[in-house]
Amino acid sequence: MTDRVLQGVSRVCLAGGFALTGLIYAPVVWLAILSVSGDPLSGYPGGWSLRWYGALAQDGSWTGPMLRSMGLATIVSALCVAIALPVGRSLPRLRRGRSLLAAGFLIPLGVPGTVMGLLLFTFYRVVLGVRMGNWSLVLAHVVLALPFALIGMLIAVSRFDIGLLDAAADLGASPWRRFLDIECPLLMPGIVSAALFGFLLSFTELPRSLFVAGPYQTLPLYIWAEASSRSGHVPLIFCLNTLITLVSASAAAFMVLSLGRTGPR
Amino acid sequence: MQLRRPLAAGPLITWAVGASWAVIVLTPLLTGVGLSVLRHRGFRIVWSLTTRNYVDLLETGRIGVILHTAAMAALVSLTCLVCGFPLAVWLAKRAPGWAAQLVWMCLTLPFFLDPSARTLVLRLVLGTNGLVNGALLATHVVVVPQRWFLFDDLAIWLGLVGPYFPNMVWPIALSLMLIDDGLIDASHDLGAGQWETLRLVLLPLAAPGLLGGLVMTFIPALGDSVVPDLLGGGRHEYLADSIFSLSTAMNYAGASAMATIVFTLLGLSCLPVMLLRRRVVLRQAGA
Repeated sequence: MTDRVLQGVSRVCLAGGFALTGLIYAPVVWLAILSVSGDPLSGYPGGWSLRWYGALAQDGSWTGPMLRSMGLATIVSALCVAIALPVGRSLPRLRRGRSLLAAGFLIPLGVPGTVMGLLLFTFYRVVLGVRMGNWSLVLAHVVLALPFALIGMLIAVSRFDIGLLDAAADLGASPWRRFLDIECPLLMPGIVSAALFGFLLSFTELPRSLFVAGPYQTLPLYIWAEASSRSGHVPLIFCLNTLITLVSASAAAFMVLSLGRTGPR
Repeated sequence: MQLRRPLAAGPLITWAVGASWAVIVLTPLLTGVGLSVLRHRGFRIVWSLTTRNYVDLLETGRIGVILHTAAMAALVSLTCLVCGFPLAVWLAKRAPGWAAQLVWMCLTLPFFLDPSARTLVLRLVLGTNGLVNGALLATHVVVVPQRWFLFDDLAIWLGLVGPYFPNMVWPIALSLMLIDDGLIDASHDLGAGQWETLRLVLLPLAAPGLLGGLVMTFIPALGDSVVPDLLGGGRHEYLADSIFSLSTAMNYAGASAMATIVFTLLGLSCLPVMLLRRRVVLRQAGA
């Protein structure tokens, strides 16, 4: 009896789950459809044309923020790997202070984005008097992404058999060889996910950047400002986002597929 | 012991990174709490204690803003949990390989999406001239365009539920994948129904994932700045609006006081989780 009810309920909820996944994509698809319409702001498709894409190519105001965001995302991604790899591989092997350190690294997960942005700004700008700039954007984005990168790395490390290192040592491999030839390849899923999370989260980060961007504009800041102010510009945002989504969708597909082949599934 | 440490500097690096992290990242968090009981004029801090900032928050009704935002974030997390758990079970245990990979990819992609772009479209769809009203008018369900779809809590809920849904499914699915299928089979073989298997095997073993999912949905939903800005009409103020307007007015102590209250509430909401965990642990130890 309970099983019957449970089955019914879980079917309904599963359907809800697919519906929610659809709810993520419906606006994106609608955005793409509107971007090739004559009058996107009416909210209805029709009068197909590519003229907004032409206008986007003419309009150069988005290239600066785009380049800045890509640069930031690359730096954040590299930093995430550089921090998460050494920390992730030796954290579980520490003899004491493991949970303290882990908790310290994961605390930002429990701080809402706007609150984190505000507190970073008040500490560095108001209390210490340092001007905001690229460094504060990198810092805020690393604070957001590192916990995710570290979790991915810890999962990869937990599947790593430490006996392999002992075996390699017995066979005469130097510490560096052991690290490069054995640990790095086996921890690759963790490294890739750290790089991925660093890039992605930085590239789309908004609430923290609002506070710490200083004089600069990242792509999400630019899009947000355009979306909430100059309505004549909004169709360009539709095109820009359609393009970004297409590029990132293919990148995501490529990465999921290539990871799926080597991963543990 | 020497062999177990391939690069002997590992622990040292970890502690060094941890210490720098504490200085660079955790100090600002604590400083915020400290600043909330100080006076200041613009960028100049006056070193005298005051409760003024908290009294101001009470008088301007910003406590209500925090509670309303928390209630919305809780509703969003609950929706994601109820729909996300079955989806995670399906992904981790039932789905054929290709379907699992497809859905997994669909749930990865939203991390790439720009926060304001997807919300902007919802505004067009839900507005008085939007698709939803158009469909309702055409089918004669309503006679005049409905205004309440947009600029109210319903729109905010819709706007938040989609983007943060993957945050719920990911950790749950990961923790379910780690459960040995043999345990589930054993549970069935021993005569447990689906309900017992769910309650006694899946839920306890997936608990870390469930907790992770709740945190990763609730916290970002609490701090989201885009959705209330683009979909909320100002009838209800949300946390991000409030903190941003305090900060624009250069009232950093007031904004820090708000942050401190958010921390306190988050800390308090961790208590029942910890108590629950202890009970589960005790019961498992007893059983």
